[in-house]
Amino acid sequence: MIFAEKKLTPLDGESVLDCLLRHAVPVDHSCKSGNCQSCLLKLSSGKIDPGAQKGLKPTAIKQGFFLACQQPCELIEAASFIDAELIFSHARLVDKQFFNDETCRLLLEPVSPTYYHAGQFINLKNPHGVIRSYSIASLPSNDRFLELHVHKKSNGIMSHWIFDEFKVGDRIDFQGPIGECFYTCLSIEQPLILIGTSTGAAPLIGILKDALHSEHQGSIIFYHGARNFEGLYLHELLLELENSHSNFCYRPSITEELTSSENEHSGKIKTGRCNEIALQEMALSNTSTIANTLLFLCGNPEMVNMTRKRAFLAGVASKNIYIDPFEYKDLRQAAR
Amino acid sequence: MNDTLFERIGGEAAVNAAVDIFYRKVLSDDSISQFFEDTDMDEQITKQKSFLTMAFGGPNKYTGADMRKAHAPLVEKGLNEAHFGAVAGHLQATLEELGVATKLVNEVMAIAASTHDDVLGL
Ligand code: HEM
Repeated sequence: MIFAEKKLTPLDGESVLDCLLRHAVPVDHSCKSGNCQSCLLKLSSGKIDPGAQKGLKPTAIKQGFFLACQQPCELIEAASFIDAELIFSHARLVDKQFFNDETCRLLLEPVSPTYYHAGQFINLKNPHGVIRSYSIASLPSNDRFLELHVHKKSNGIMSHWIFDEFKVGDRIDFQGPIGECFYTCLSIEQPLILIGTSTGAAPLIGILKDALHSEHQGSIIFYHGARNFEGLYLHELLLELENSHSNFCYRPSITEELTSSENEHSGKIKTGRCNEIALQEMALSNTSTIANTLLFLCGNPEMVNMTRKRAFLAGVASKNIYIDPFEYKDLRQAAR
Repeated sequence: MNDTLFERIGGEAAVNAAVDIFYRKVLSDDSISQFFEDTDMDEQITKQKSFLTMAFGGPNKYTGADMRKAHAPLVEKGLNEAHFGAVAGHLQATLEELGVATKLVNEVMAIAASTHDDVLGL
């Protein structure tokens, strides 16, 4: 395989991304699962596997862009980088607020106008070249800035950088918006079920705001799950929205017990996993409602994939399930 | 009436109507679900659509050799006569659930049966 005019020898069955990283070629990447689109490259000659163009825009497909992590080397004769200007835009950090010790909210102002749907994601690239995907919680018609929620991972290089070093006024590169997990007005009468763990609530609050703003008529249920009460970082906002919209219902749950000082919330907050609670409640509704329900699943990839399958078996149509699995791989060992 | 089976059965729309019902049956059947546990549901659904399109006599790019190759890893994992029968049964039940005329169901089942030896690597 020729990459950027250098000849590389792939191992059997190796992906283009793995081959480049093994040869210490500094290629952008993040999720390695075909979702984040940060490892896009351009084909010069050879054949692209259909799986390496899944989710790409038609214009990107036409230009021969492909996802390096999903593309086997065998089919590629020659490929190259894509000009950074074609991929990255710039934004400025205008605000950083902490919901709690491990979750913060960023407001970004894109340098040029950015068209997006609440619930899509963007890839932030920090000055050290680290890339991570963050979902958009803001609504383009209401909010001036792009709102992202960042969860601090115990060994997450990007989240630590964002918490400790990223300052108001700083510029940052971003790619996107990307993704199909968003609200469309075609669904105004359909029941919506939103299930998210941790900052999986970020795209979901975006989708919820979009639905309410579009005067959605069907019922909307938001299951937010966290470890403890602190982790339900949108509690007040969601309670408020529940009070002001008769078709909206907020169902928080935590996997630990409430502390004694939090006992006043015990009527509202259930103990258990949010997806289990949601699936149990779905099993009780009638089959025609389930068949018509739009389901949005965001957060922990295992939770997302397992819930998707069980909801499908429970009768939700496959085309009505929108997912946004938050894939994190720690990539500190990668050459840079 | 010289339209192809695929046209008479309703073409791509019929495939789309059948895919969820069929895939749900397959996943819920413990005797065969292990073959379909691929975590990527999108990919599985695409493949189920290829299966249905082919069984409905629709345009497909598969030769007998392709069928052999696609199922060879499964044969290695123990794919047998009983599994084939189960999949065929779910196909038939799906069509009946959708109210497809018996005559068309029989034509579909004949196509499925014609792949028997290739699918089982015989
Ligand atoms: C009844 C006749 C059958 C027909 C016409 C048929 C047809 C097909 C087709 C067209 C594909 C897609 C191949 C591709 O594009 O990669 C496929 C894949 C598959 N089939 Fe069948 N099939 C049959 C029976 C079965 C049976 C009995 C089983 C197992 C119980 C089975 C399990 C699978 C699996 C697991 C795949 C996906 C393989 C992969 O992930 O690459 N099939 N089949």
